[in-house]
Amino acid sequence: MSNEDIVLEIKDLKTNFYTYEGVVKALDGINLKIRRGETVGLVGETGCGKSVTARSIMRLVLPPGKIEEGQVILEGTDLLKLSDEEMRKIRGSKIAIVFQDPMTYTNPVFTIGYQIAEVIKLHQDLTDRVHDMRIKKLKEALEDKNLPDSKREKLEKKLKEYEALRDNPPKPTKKELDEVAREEAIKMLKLVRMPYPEKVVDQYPHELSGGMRQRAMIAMALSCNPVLFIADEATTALDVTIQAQVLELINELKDKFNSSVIIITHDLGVVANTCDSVAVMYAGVIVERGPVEKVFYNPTHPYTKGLLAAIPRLDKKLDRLATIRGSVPNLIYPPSGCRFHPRCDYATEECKKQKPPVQEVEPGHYVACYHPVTNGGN
Amino acid sequence: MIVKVRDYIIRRIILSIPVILGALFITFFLSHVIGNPAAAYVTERTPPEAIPAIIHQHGLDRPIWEQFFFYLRDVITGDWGYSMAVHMDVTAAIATFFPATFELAMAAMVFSVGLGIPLGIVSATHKDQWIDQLTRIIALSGVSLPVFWLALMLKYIFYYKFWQWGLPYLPNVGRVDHLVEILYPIKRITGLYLFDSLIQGNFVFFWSALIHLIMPAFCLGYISMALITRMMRSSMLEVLKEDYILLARAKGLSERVVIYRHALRNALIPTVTVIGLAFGGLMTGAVLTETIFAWHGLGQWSTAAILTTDFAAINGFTLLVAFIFVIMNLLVDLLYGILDPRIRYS
Amino acid sequence: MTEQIQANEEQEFSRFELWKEDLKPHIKEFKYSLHLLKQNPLVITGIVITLFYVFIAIFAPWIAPYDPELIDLSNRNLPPLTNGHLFGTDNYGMDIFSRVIWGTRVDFGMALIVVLVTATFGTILGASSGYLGGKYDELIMRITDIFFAFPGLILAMAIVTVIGRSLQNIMFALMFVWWPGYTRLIRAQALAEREKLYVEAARSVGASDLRIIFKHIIPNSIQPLIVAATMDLGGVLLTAAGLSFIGFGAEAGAPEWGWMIAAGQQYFLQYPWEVLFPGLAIFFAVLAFNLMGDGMRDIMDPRLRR
Repeated sequence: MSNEDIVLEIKDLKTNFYTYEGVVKALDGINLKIRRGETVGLVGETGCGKSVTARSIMRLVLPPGKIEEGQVILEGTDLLKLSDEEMRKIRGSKIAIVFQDPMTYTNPVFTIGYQIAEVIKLHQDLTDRVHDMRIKKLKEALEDKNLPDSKREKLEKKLKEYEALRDNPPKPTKKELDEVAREEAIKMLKLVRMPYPEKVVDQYPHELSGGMRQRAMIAMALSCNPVLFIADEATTALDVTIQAQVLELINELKDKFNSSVIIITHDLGVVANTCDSVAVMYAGVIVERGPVEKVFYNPTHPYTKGLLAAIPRLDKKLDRLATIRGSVPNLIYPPSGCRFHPRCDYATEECKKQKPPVQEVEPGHYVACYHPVTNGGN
Repeated sequence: MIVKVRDYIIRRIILSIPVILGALFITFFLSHVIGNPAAAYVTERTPPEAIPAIIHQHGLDRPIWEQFFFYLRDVITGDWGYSMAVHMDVTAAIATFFPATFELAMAAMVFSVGLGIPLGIVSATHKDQWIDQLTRIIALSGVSLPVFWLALMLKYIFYYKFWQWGLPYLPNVGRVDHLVEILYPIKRITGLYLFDSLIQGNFVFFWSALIHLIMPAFCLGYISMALITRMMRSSMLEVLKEDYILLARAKGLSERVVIYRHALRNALIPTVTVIGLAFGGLMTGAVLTETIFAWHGLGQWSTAAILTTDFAAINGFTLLVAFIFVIMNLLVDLLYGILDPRIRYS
Repeated sequence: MTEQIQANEEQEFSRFELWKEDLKPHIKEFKYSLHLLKQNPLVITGIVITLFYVFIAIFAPWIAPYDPELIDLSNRNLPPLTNGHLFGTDNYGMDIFSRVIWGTRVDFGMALIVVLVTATFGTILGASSGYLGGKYDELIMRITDIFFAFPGLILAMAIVTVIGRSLQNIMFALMFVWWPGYTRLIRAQALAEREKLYVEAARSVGASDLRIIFKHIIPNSIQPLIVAATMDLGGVLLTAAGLSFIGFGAEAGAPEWGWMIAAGQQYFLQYPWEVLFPGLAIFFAVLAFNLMGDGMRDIMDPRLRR
């Protein structure tokens, strides 16, 4: 493996949910590496564990769920070993997440600006910016030509004072913090290309459209320059055109902030368009991962092949749509060995006994299978 | 925004007119069709010769539909008749009894909201732990107790037994000690004893009124406290399951902030309805408590009125209740609007 | 391929088989409900207490040691556990224990009847009002509004005054007070249900309004109804006792808990048991109802399941 800058490394992550009907083994050993600036697509059917993975990374798995074992190493630190307080410092600042439905994920009683400013105030030290603002205000006041001389003197004196204190500014008051945070929030809204940001910042979530709300959520997430940005089905609830815009926005901002992005989706088209690499998940396991072109042009896991084959094509005439036979397993009683074996045309006895090892079929292209199919694909 | 609020209030007042009219209609029906309408305007000292004049003055010799308009005129001009049950004009009776009940209800409200909301929050955030179970039992017993029985039991312990055991005991009846009333009288300004005595600097009176308020307020308030606690708990539990709470956690906010800033405001919205209803119910339903504690308020008056079929009083009381109902609804809705921005603009 | 389909059809031909299949998810839900029930000690307590009261009400004549209305002036105001009087006697020498037991029939019975009648009436009215809408709905809403403007106790008092004071009339008065609540509740449910697609589907195959109301709307509104009805049993009981206490039940001597407390008021500082025991009887009955209602709400809440 090359020595590139690895931002996030997940090792053997296992997460369970203890329910009335039994223990749901949602994640059965997830392994993933994400480089800085990379956009990774996490793809799979509903219920395969994509969201659980995202929440496990952020340690937002609430009871009856529990992260059983594994490591989630962000820039060298294993997040699973941090204390709650330390983890809270990371959430929202180093790792940020945007969820699927912006209507239910925004608090209806607070303005957009308030909710963005909240994150900013929480994770950033705004003291310097507050001080800059104070100085700026004084300078603006001094530009008033009708200023009486006594006042002018006072203000200039204050200005000198403040300039001198630049390296050690006095603590900001709540009001000043709110003001600066609001300015920052407006800046973020402009960044996500929200129309009329100064108006929106004082509006409530129910007054915006779905696309605008999602942009606001993205603004919230990116406001503290996260190292890792997770989009959990962030575009699924949006119209196709808005979806395209939002995805483009995410990639643009990723470059700007040099963050890495995990795009969780069940839409292979989205992955093909926006991601650098892709990880295919099935029933709590990553069955195949690698650079997007390699995986999509040369799918080696039978499941990936099935997925890609199932995409209806406009240029070929078909009598029936291709499907993968069988159905998604119940994760309380998952299949033994390779979890895909009941639905796999290439399964053998080996596949039933033990979890398949991960093989590198091409440089950077990994598969968890005993019989990777190394030919064909589209 | 201010304009919107004003318009909203006006609109609500207009919408309440049917309710008031309905109440007026019912009271008119009760007194003029079922009962003897002249009785409302007659006092003990009215000589029999004056009665025909009274009948004419209030239009009672006219056909029934004209009577209704006379009735309306009387109501609007403030002539609500005379209440035999308490020997004073209905309007004077209201002025006398309303503050007493209001003061009691306010005290009960302070108790029930002041305890109910924090208990509900604690109960929800420590779901299924011992504090939750304990709170639920307290709240549950609150809505299961007959208030008159609670009053009697409280009296037994805090008045009788405490006295027997030589402990300082609470008074058992009345709003204020009779001796205090005579020796340290206050001028009656609003009729709210605590308020009046305070602004007149009469601390003896104030103290007496205060300790007389404790038991009845507790009694009355215990039940609405139970309701508020339950409502708060359940709405808090609901809110905590919402997606935006997960997002608040994902932003890195501390659990305390998540609960008290993000969850609480949302959870208060349905609770406010309960509080409003409870207050309205307190105001007008304090019948049982007032009876037991000899608290001369609306409850006692209405009971006496009904028992003696004093139609003037019954009507007066009914109209008052309707007004209170309308105002309470309005206040609750305004409060809603403050808490929930989604409602403001509709 | 067509042969396969035919074979499948022959397999599932039996209607009995089909009916059993239909029931399976309901049975599963029911079993899950029972499981949740077992986990909730408070609810079980409520159910046990209620059954206990029902038992006492049914077997009152055999359980009560004395005739509840037997006046015995030589044994007045005896404290509990004297002379075979478990709970003591009251001012007329009547045995309080027996009166409490017989009172179960009166108070419990009243509450049950009032709730059953008003719930049924209110449900039908509310479901039709909500579903049919229009002027009919408006009218009913206005009527319930006016009823709501009056505090329950006072309205009941007024009604009893007009129709005469007796325990039976308390029952009627309470029915008048409680019906708007159910109407409103079911109406709200009906409004939500009628927007749902299955109702549209039923309409499109020609189901009559009546059928839709009774077969679809009402069954789907049952859940909050059951919870409300259970809790209302307690509320009605409390109100009935309250009315009796003030004097609107006025049947001197009848073993009714509210009246017993009123009678015991006179010398209660000296003889507190005369007030204590009937009050406890009321308290535990209402508590039991509330525990059950609470528990049922928790169990049936779809969002708390799983």
